[in-house]
Amino acid sequence: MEKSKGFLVVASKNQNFYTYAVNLIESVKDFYPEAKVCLCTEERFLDGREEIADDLLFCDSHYRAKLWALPRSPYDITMYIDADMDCEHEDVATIWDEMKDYDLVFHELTQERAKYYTIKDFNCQGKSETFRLCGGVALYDLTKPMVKEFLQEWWDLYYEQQGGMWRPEGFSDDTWNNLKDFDQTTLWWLTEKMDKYKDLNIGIFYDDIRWNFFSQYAYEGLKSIEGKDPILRHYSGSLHKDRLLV
Amino acid sequence: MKNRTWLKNAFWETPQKKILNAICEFEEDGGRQVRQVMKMSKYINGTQDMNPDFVECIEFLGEEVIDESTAERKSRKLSELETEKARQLEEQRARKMEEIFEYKLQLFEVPEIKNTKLREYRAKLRRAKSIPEANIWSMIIMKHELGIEDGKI
Repeated sequence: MEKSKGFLVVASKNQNFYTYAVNLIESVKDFYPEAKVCLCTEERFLDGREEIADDLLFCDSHYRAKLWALPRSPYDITMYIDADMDCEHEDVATIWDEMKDYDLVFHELTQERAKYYTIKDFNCQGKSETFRLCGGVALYDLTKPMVKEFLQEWWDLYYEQQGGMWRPEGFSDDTWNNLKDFDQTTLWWLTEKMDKYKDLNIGIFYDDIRWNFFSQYAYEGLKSIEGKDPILRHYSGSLHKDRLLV
Repeated sequence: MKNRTWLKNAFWETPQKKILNAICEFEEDGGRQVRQVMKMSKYINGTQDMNPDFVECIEFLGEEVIDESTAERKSRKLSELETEKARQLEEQRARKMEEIFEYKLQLFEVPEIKNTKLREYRAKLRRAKSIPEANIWSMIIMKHELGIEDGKI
């Protein structure tokens, strides 16, 4: 049987994210009308516009409800997209080709992109470490038990991390203070330090800048390797997320 | 001080060739290697006496080498300037795009636009490249939603 495929968008904690999410879902469907999209949001945000989504999941009011939602996607193959993004290109329909033989596929945090991220390099046990994977978008195959387990553990461990119940050894207090709120820290730990997940086949999107084009990338003229336009533009750094839209 | 070596990237600061910028390297008496950047006037303090550093550098490199280096530097600086101008333009465009995106999100919160079933028009509004264009599509949606015909609601 063919695997089901769909997008996952999460809007929690802040009403603005619901507006961003509705816009994102519509923009994906502007270019890819057959796309199936699941919106994971809080029931209190609903205003009728959620009808644009094919599936609905309700989450708690948590800043990283995204991590809770990832293993709960109703689709076999899921493309998760941060809500504060906008689809700009018909190539969005080609996303499923990116799955190839990978278990999960991410956008890469390269050195030239580093200045647009809060943190990339840090020290652990006197050793220089770096974040390589960016979770703004993620394509994954939930039919693989290891992937489901991995995503569930990402949420579980992050929950403990944020609550101060889990802190890996080897970090100075200053470093940990910089890292503890980021789900990337948990992702780094799971993928780089846990033997259990060493066999996960993690890939990077081809010409990955197109799949998560931070609007600030354009400040420095960062471009697709093939000179193509962005597919998904990420407005993460420019939106006034806590300010009322109207 | 022992003999100085002058690097070939020396250049004229002015078209009149009265100020020369160059780097020299030499070994101090104690054996320490020194590299020094020197900005040299042709004449000493408004007199007609030639500056010996200036003369030494020209004699060492030859005026032709300095001319070539000056031309190469000018071309490189112009190219860097062009690149920076292009980058600034890209940044301006990107910032404008960010502003427009947030502006459009505000428009999508206007009840008539929020609730319209005219998906194609909402898509047009979403793809608007400027605030005036976004306003025009908003007005079209509003006109339809409020049933305005010939200026009458």
